[in-house]
Amino acid sequence: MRLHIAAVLFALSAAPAAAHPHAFIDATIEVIFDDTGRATALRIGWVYDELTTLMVIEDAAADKDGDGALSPVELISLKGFDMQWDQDFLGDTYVKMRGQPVALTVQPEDWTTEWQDGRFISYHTRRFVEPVSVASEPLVILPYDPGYYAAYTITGETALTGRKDCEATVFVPDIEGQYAELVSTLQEYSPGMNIEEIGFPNVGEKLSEEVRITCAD
Amino acid sequence: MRRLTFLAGAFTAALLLVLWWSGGFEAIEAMAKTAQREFQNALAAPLRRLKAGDAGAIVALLAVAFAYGIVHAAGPGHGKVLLGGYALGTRSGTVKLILLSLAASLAQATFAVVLVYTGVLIFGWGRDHLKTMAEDWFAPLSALTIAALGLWLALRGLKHLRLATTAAMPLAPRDPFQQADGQHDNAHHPQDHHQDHACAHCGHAHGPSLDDVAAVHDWRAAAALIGGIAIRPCTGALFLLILTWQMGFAGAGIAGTYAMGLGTAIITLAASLGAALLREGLIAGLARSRALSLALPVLEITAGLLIAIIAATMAYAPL
Repeated sequence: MRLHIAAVLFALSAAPAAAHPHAFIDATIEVIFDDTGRATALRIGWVYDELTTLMVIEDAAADKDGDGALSPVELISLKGFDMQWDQDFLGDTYVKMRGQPVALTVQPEDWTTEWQDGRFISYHTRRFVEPVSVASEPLVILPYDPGYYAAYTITGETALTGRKDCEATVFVPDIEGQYAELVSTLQEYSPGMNIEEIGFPNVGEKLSEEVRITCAD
Repeated sequence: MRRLTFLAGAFTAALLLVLWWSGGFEAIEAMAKTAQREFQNALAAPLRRLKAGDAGAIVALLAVAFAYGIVHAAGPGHGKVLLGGYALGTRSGTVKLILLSLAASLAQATFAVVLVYTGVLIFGWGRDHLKTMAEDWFAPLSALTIAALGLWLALRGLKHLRLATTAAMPLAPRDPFQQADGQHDNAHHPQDHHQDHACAHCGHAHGPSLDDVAAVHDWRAAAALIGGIAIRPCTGALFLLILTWQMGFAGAGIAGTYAMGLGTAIITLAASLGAALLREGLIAGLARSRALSLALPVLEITAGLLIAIIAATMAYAPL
């Protein structure tokens, strides 16, 4: 059986926003700096939820001995299952600085695939098209799927390799805060008002977690 | 007390409506996301154990699937909204609502099973194709069915409203002391007898022939409601069915899908019973007043339009 999961995931990520995600991925982020202190690349880790992992394995009929686990030999055919990116898939890692997008190279490099305790763990590297100088203005890294087929959660410490004077802070969208904001906005609402006028918060855009990197000047 | 119930219910309904209208449900969904994620992991473990030959894992699978059905439906699922709207717009008894909720959820599970096995066995479709079928074909079809149901309900309400406004006199004998005050009630005025006439259209008899017509319409509406909900299976069920078929224990997946359906039924039932309570609270609040004969058709029209609007937007929010 041919392996379609990557194509499916990516095709679906282009579909209109789904009501809820179907794949859950824990993302780890490492920022790599060069000798002159500029950020040159990101090393991204993805840990898939167990159901998505199982679906990838069964699509490929990779668990040959049917023991529910994936041996190193059984893993071979699935190496790089999530690294065949077509032009519709932008990598689900976005970087911004001063509100402007910062370009990453299109294809993933140096990728690895492992299976552990029912989950796929993959790593890949994305390089910055132009190395980025980072100082007090934060470099913002957002792992998200625009189609919301996959939901990303930033986990673990963000590693900062090659510089010691930088700091990484994870920002989780304040769902409860936004909800409270929403309710208080609603209380000011009267039927005659245009909903746009009272400045309704754009909830969807705020759902992505982000890590902000700042360094000493 | 009843009035209090009604006010609380009305406030909740209004808040939910504005939330839904403004996209605020996305924030609530985000909270439900964490639960969804836990379920995906919880679902995989018994599946791996089943594959490894541990037959006892079926119990864990059914338990997780049942809980998944509850949590999934508690999000802004369409079944809950539609059954709630239906209960609000028609005077349906508790037994009928229980049967409707069960029938809709089990029909939805059945449709998922039929869709997956027709697709997989006859057409050789994969998961992507089935998901596309569900979302691009059956979701709009479901939305159309349900929108038609909503419009029918609204039209029926309009007809009732016309009847109520063109009636030369209020249908129920009125008492000046009782007017506009629902609080003193039965003590002074035994009213069960007149109540039926105050609301000739809301399920109680007008004449046998009209009754028969209403029954047929109700039967058709119920079928449209069940069908509309059924042909929009949740992707979680589709994924489970395909996966268990691939893994060689299709039966466990089918059982799990029905367990999910039962979980969903609990939520849709709660929503419809809540809506019925709201409606009865309104009736109690307006007892024997002329306003009642206007309020019920208006409620019918509102619920019908609400269903139609929600159905129309559903096509853009695959479940």
